[in-house]
Amino acid sequence: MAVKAQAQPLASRQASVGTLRQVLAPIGQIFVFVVGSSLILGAIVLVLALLLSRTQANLLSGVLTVLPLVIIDGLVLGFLYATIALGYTLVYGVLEFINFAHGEIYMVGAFVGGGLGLWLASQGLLAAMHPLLFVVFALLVAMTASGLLAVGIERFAYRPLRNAPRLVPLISAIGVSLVLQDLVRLLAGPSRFNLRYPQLGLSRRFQLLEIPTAAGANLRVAIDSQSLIFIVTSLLMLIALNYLINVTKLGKAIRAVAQDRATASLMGINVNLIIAMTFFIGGALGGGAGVLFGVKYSTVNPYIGFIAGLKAFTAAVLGGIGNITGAMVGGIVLGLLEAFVSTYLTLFTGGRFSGPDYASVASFLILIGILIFRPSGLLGEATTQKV
Amino acid sequence: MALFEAKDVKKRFGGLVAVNEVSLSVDERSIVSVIGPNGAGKTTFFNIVTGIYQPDEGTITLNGRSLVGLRPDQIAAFGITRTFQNIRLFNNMTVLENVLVGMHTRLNASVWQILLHGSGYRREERQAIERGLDLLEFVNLRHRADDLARSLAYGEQRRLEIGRALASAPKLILLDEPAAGMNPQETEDATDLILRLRDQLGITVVLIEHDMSLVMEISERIAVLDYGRMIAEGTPKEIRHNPRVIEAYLGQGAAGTRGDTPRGTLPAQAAAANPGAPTSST
Amino acid sequence: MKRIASFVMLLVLLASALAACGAATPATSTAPSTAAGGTQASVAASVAAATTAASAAASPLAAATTETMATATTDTTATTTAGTDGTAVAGTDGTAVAEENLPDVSALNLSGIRIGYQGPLSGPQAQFGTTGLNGAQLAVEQLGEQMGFQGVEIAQFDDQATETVGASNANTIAADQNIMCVVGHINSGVALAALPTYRDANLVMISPANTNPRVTEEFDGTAYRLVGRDDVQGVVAADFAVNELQAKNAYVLHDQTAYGEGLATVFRDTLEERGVTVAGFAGTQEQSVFDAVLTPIQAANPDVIFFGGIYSTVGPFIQQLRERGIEATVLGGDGLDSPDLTRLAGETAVGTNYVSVSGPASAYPQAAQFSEDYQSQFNAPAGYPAFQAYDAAKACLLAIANAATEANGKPTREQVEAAMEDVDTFQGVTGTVTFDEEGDRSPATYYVFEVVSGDPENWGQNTVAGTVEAEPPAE
Repeated sequence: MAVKAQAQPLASRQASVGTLRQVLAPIGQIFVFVVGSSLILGAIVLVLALLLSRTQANLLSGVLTVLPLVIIDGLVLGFLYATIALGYTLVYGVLEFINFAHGEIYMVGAFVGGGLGLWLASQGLLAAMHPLLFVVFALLVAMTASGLLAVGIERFAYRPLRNAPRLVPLISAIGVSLVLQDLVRLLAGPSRFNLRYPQLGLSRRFQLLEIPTAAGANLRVAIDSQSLIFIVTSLLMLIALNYLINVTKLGKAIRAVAQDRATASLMGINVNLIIAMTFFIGGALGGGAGVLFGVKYSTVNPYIGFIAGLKAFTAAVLGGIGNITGAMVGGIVLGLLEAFVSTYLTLFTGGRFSGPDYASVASFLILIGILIFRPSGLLGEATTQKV
Repeated sequence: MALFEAKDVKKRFGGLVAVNEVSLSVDERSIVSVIGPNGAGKTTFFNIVTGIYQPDEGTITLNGRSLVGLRPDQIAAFGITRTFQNIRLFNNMTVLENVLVGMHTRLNASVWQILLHGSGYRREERQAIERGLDLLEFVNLRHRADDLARSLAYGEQRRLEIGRALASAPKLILLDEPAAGMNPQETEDATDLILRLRDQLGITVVLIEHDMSLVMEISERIAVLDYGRMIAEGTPKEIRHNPRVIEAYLGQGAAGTRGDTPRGTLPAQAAAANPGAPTSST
Repeated sequence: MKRIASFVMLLVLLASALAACGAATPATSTAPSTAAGGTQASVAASVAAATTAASAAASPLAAATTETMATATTDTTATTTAGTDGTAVAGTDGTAVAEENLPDVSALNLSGIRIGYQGPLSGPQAQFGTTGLNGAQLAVEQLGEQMGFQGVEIAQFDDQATETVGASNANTIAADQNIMCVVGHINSGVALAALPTYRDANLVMISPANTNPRVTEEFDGTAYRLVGRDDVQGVVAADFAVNELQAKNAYVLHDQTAYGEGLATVFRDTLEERGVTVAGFAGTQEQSVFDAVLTPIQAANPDVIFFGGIYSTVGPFIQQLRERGIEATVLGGDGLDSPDLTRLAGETAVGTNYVSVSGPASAYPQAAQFSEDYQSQFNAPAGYPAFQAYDAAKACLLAIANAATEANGKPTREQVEAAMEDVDTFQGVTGTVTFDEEGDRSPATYYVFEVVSGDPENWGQNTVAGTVEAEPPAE
């Protein structure tokens, strides 16, 4: 991450303002991309609707009606990918290594949160708890568990292979991913393959708009509180990560290790410890994303990590791998794109092509396109910028 | 007792013996230079001392404590830091941040304090920043504290490297060609800085250099390496007239009159040459 | 320029690949069943032929334990049968099955005989697969002994509800010469993948749950089923939607499996015949995040949403549906008949309607003993497809026993195959079981349920909104 430097001398009050600006700037960037992508995608869809409305009546009104819903869908999905992508990009920034097991670490976090919910319910404690308190509690427990799991994986599956050719730890990561999937499946047992999160009664819906539809009744565009929790928590995680990396001593050490491992060691930094901490942080972020997923979508199973991980990795590359804000931007753009394709492809082809099937195709096409035209990603720079 | 003692250090890379039974003893608060033709094993020796390589044989001690087998960060914690032949700064961090990274070993906050950001940690951070700025003042870079390291001029970058190496309050600092690529004015400033390291900060300095005028001017003792072996060790005056040293630089039987030889500048010639003459760099 | 060119070329390649395959079908689905559409008329005919009375009266649904479902049409209808309160449904004797004459092969000293079982024993549909296994297990233990076998056992295989795994297991089953008969599968798509192997090995497969018509139509002589078929089930569901739910506007979803897509297609086609607007027809393989599917539904504002799929998918779907504030009634097929539906959807599942090919325990008075034994051995109430698996295993044992008697020793698979064709009628826990020449159960009974409780323990209390008995459609 480039640290924007000011020319004036570093006075302490200016330091805190500068720090604040530095830490919050990514929120601004994200906002720009959210608005920008929505506008661009919306415009594309409207133009297509106009072009095609000669063959299909009501297409334009149908498109407009669904547009706000699609954008909200896309944002929620986007923040899911974004939060998972944070873990990918952090580890890549430091080690230039793609931790393919990260999707499963996310899944384990989801299961830990769900298991915690089950246990609390069985002890009769769940009812007494405020739902938000449960969410916070589950986040803490799952993040710790996932973080420790990530550290363990690094220690036993990656560290011994640190000097091997690049492909070898990658394969090890894939192996870990498969092991985790089946391990969780085994431990959960057939009866808890689909693990249900406790119903927290959080489903308050905040109505944003009401749109009259061709079908008669008004279409209520609303966002539910789980989605809001999702988005807010993701943003908080981003801010915290940003602060950690740019302001704290640990963050400096991580960046030093990312830029020049040997020199960092010579400057007195315990490289192995820093790498372990990086994995802990990345894993914790993934685990947190898992809990948020469970709270929002209510059911988790051992295979949610696979595709989500792949998409989140795509998002990280899309945004510029190694760039933290880029991971979030990439996730949001990808989520919006998928939501648009899912709904509008069905709409435009009159149901002949099922949108949700092709949403993944669109995502991966974008990945290929990015790698061809702008390999450094949306926010990346020509030279690999390390964390 | 000498602050630093290396005895019979040997390092092999496959069939090549890069460092062959080198012994060096460095007293506290002294400046020692290690010179020798290109490829003599000087940087390798530095790498062994700082823990990048493990010696195959020999002992290395700092204040009596053995350093063999320790990780580089542990050796740094004990009090040995270094700079590099080709500058290795953290280019995407600011000048001040580079120095703060070097301070890492001297900061005591535990992991929990860092994560939870307690008040003790914050005070320590503030003090660290102040100390960092003082160090930058010492190497004359305070005015550039918030600029990115890669935006510095060459000479400034070298100074920053030294500043970073000072951050952990080392007892011994190893400078690898601190004057490489410098014009005479810059060389003079570098010389001045090295002297201040010893005189103002009380740090022991061992440097690798090819610039003989610099070497002759500030070294208390000089060690000469050739093909991995230490072929001479003594005061500058002794080294200047040591026939083995001359031979090492000129090759057998040659008594050159030119200032530059294929293997570097002769110490004697360099000492005699006027300060204005350009010196050879790596 | 070069980069743009290569990217464009990539797109062209992709487009042509897509065009070549038509709509891309993911690996786990097969082409939608076309048998459904073609047999609409014959469904009508055969269903009409089996009716005892075609009543034109429509009676409103009350909330009592059983309802009558009357359909009034002139062209095609399903029959209605009045359900009495909770006991036998018309079409069975109404009395507990008498001790019939089971063949006795104790003199033949048959040992080492195995009956294969394939179903999802792990993964999201494990509840179905293990329930079936338990039923078959019980049958083999009890009846095997009664019939004088020297130790029959079940050779169980986990097909994970996946075609490739089922087909691979089928090879293993075929190689084990001790396996004389197969009880399975649960998923029609997986059965279709494994049946070629069974047929080549002359192994008879008796399914406790496959409802896709192709299973018996394409594997004559090899495949049999204890339950009804989707080309009737879909019609039953459609009629229910039209008559009882008064649907004017429906949205149809499926899970892109042979079963789900087949059933959904029948439903949609029938609805269109009845003049109901089908606002959308979409398939999804999604298991957890249904936003993309729900948004178009929300925009279309249907009265009824039909989902041809399994409880593991539809459960989370219903939860998210309700969270969005969509109030349409949800309707489904026998894939929903599992307490895990409420385990996954909780309170939101209440009010969901589903057609099942298996009745409530009350519909099987002959199964009283079976239910008791099941509960005590497996610590859970017997449900679908345990009853059917018991009867399937029984059919296997009967065929093997008859073949053995004729062969006067251990029979070959071909002999068992032939004997199975001769197994015409027998008494099972699901009532009188009769197979027609196709291997379908004739007649088969279809029940329309409504979920009443968000507690999985109360699954057995789901109310029956109507019952239909029908012959399978002629070819």
